Order: sequence, then structure tokens, then C-alpha cells
Amino acid sequence: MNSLKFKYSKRHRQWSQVVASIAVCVLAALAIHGAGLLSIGTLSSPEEGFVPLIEAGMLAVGGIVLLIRALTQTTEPRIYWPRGDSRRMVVHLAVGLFGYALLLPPLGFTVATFLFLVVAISAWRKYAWWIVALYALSIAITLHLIFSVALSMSLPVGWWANYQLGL
Amino acid sequence: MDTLHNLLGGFAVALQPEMLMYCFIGSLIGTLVGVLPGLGPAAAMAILIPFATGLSPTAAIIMLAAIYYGAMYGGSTTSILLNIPGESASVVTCIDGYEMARQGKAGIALGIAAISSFVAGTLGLFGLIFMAPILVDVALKFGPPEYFALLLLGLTVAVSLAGESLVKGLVAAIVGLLIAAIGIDPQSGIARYTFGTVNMMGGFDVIVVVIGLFAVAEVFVNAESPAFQILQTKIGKLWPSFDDFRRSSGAIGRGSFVGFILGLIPGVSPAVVTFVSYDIEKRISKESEMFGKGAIEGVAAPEGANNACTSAGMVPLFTLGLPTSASLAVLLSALMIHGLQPGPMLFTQQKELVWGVIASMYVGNVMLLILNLPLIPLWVKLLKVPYPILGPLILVICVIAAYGVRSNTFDIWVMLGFGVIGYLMRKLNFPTIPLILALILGDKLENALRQSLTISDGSFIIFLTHPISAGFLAIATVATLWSLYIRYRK
Repeated sequence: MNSLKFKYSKRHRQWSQVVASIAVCVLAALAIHGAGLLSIGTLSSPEEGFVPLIEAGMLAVGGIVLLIRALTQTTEPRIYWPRGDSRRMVVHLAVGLFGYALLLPPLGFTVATFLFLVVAISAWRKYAWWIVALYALSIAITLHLIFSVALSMSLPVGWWANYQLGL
Repeated sequence: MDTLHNLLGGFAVALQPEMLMYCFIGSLIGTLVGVLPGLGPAAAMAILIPFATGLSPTAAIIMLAAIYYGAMYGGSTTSILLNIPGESASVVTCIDGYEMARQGKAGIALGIAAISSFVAGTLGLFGLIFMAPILVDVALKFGPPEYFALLLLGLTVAVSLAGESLVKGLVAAIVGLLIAAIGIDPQSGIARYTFGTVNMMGGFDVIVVVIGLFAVAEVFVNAESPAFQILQTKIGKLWPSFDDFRRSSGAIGRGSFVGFILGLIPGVSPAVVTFVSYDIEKRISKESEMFGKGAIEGVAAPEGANNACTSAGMVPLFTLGLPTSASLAVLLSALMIHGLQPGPMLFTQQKELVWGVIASMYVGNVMLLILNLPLIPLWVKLLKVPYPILGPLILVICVIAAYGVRSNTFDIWVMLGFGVIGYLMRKLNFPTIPLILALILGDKLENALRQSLTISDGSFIIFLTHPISAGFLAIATVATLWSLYIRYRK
């Protein structure tokens, strides 16, 4: 924390809270719409849409209150959004995880894990490329041996293996 | 007499070699989880549930419960050695524990933390053993209105206590309730909020959501910060002196009492309990100026409180089916996955499991006391694993666990989505615990409400005409008003 500066501004804080409040209101609107498609029933015989409609309505009220507070209040705690390297690391990991989920079915667990670990470990820019590859390979193989072999867990094997197995 | 008989039966279960093994594994994993900053017991339990589905229900619950209270033991290690709490419940231990380490008394601090945890855990178990049967008798009189009011009370208190903003807590809880509504309505069989997709018919699995919100989000948060450095100090002797024991004994007793009483209340997490216990200890101490400068009572009291709190949390979980924290909410999910319904019927229909788990908690406490101190050098070595390796490894294990729930890559996407949501919630000061509690209790709450309205022919007065229900609603109202008052004063 001490080597990285977080820039705080009142306008930035309100923007984050405003966007969050609007997101809650949008979610509430969608929930109300979804509940409206269901049968509400009556008070003495509530059906599947009854409780979701109440919940969505309460969410809408909560969202509006948050929006008003975000636009008018000045005592909300500070929000520290990461900047520079910190932001890069979080985005790097999130995108890496996204790619991992995409590649798991076609490539299978071991290969996809190896690739993800290469991407994720290199996010810290701490090790040379060959050390990263070595760590990634050894961890991927170890995890394969523990989960797929020792614990007999059913993990994705990849399209090529499925093709070979005739699946 | 009946209680004693049941307890002896429980020990007969807990002392079986298989159960001892799983208790040991859970205690070890729990301590490891507690030691490693960035992975809490809720996330660890959620990750392990898919792997525990092949075990018997008793073995699975014994192991998962051991992870929960094991984490309380482990969290103090990093608090004392690194000034970084391994668990939220170990934050307060940093204050005096780290100071003691800087004064060359790291070993004594670690020793008294372990002993305090053991004594408080044992006292908490006695409380659990004697209170649980009484609450079961009361709970057997509950109908739908009482259950609705009780669950609402639990959610309300959790919302009131979580985070600085009541509105944000309420929004988080309602989002949790709406997520719980996704899937097939159990009463009518109609699909809700599924967008016509097959994957959504089963709703979002609680375990996957917890892994995303707690474990994945935590890795993202930790990725922002630079790596920490281990305190380069000798651990020294671990066994406290007679004077250390004399000064700590009162703090341990008071911490245990405070921890147990507060731990019965839904929404009061071990973290809150430790702060209250520390504050009480400081106020009544004749040497209050020593607090913050290495007072041994400042380590003994909060460590005792958090362990007593974990035992206390089992009382409403087993007797009423009401979890008081995120970790216990995950344990509730585990019980339901194994086809068990927590509540008064569990005590009558699954005596062996319930008393086996209670007895195993005592056995686990003994194991942890014996293991913790000698294994401290090992935990210190593990802390040297660089986070660039540990963080991605945690993410891979999360993916494996999420996939293992239903062998469906859809759950990995859900986990990732909630990981991002959890990260944003942390940044924007939205509490996550109300969301998890609401997600787990949502179905029950809705069923109880609908049944109550059907019974009363649409009248909400039923919740006031039933005395127990009215009592719960009154407490919920008072808790909310008190919370508003405290925030208004601030």
C-alpha cells in the first residue's frame, strides 16, 4: 500500500456510488419485470411471483435511496480504486480467469491450468519466463495427479481426448 | 441424564478411527486456512464441500466443522508474527500480539493464544451441550409463522450489524433473496428468472457463490497489495510462565463468556465478538495503559472469545437451522447437500450425527492444542510461499471446486461472475454476509411466508397473534431501530 498512490477525489467517489446505485435500480427493474411475468396469486394464496415481486419492490426502494444518498451525501467512506500496477494485476488475473474458463472444455484441465498459471504468475513480473513455465508445469501436473488420479475427480479432458474416446 | 447419555454416544462416534482421521484433516486444513491470509474458513469449507460429498454425512460435517474452529486457532499465528490477521476474527490479536512478538515474546503470545482457544472452546462446548436440548424443546413448538419470524430476525440482525450502511446491507440481503428465487419454485414447479436456459433451472449453487464472493474476490483484493515480509524474530519459548497464566486466566474466562453469549446471536461474527471482548478487558483492567503495548490479556481475551463464539454458533445452527455467520451458513449448506435438515428434528432423527459432531469438536480442540504449538515453525515456513504462486494456486483450486459441484463449466462462470461482484462489493462497501445468509435462507423464508399467509387466509396479523413469532419480530424491530440510532449518533 505504501509504495502505490491512490488518488481520491470527491467527484470520483460520487461517480462510483452513483453508478452502483443505478446498477441496483436497473437490477430491481429487471427483477420487477421478471416477477411480473409470473403468477402473483392472492394474499391468501400467494403464488410463485408473489415474494419475488415484494423483494424486487424493496430493492427498487433501496436503489433509489442509495442513488439519492450518492448524489447528495458527503460522508460516505472513501473508495480506493486501484491505480497503475495494482489495477493491472487485478485485470490481469480476472482476464486470465476468464480465458481459463473458456479454454477448459476444449483443452482439458491440465493444459488449460498450465496456460492459466503461466498468465497468472507472470502478472506479478517477479520471475523469468522459464521459471514461470516450470512452476506452472509442476503445479498443473501435481494438481492433475491429486485430483484426477488420486481422488478420481471427473475434470474436463478436452475435445481431443473426447474425440479419441468417441464421446 | 439424557444429555450425558447422548454425549457419551457422541464420543463413541467421534473416537472411531475414521472420524478421528477426518477431524484431524479438518483441524489441519482449518489451521492452515487460518494461517494463510486471504483464504477464510467460509471459502475453504465451500471449496472442500464438493470433495466431501463422497464421505458419510457424519464424517463430512465433522471435517468441515473442524475447519471452522481450526481456522480460529490458526488466525492468531499471522496476527502475532506478521501483524496481519489470518482471519477477520484475529484482527484484535494483532494489537497486543504483534507487540509481544516485537518484545521477543512471540512464543508466549502464540502459546497463550492456543491455550486460551482450547479453554474457551471447551467451555463453549459445555454451553452448547446444555443449551441445545432446551432450544430443541422450544423449536418443536414452531410453525410456519414462527419460522418466518425467526429467519427474518436472523437476516435483520445480520443486516444491522454488517457494514456501515444499513441500506447497503439491506440491498445485499434482498439481492441474496432474489438470487435464491432463481430456478424452479418448489411449490408450483414454475421456472423463475431462468431466461429459458437449462443451466439456470437449478439456480445458482450456494457453494459456487460463496467460493466466488469470498475466495476469488479475496485473491483479487490481495493482488492489489505488495507482498508482506515475515517478522525476522525468534519464536522463543512457547510455554507461558505462572505469572502469564495468572494474568490471563480471568481474561480467558471473561472472553469465553462474552464470546458464547454473543455467538448465539445471528449476524454477530467472531470478529465483532473479539472487539467487544478486548474492549471489556481493557476497561476493567487495572493496567489499561498496557493494552496496545503487549498486554497478555489483550491476546488471551479475544482468542478465547472467538473460539467460544464458534461453539455458540452451533447452537442455533443445529437446533433452529439458523446460521449466525457465513461459515456456519456454508456448514448448513453441507448438511442440506447430505440430505439433512437442521432444526429440532435433526436432534431426534439424527442423534448420532449431531452428538458425534459435538463430541468431535472437543476432540478437535484437544488435537489443535497439541498440534498447534509444535507446528508453528511449519506454518511460518508456509507463509514464505510467495503470493505470486499462492494466489493463482488458490484460483485454480477454486475452479476445481466450482466444477466439482455439478461437473458443469457453467458453475465456473458463475464463480467468476460472483468473484467480480464480490470484489466490487468490497470496494463499494457493500457487505457480503447478508447476501450469503439471504441466499441460503431465502427458500425457507419464502416457504414459511407463503404457508403462513395460506393458513391465515391472507392476514399478516398471524405473525402478531402467535406469541413466539411476535417476540421475534419485536426483537428484529428493536435491533433495527437500535442500529439506526447508533448510526445516527455517529
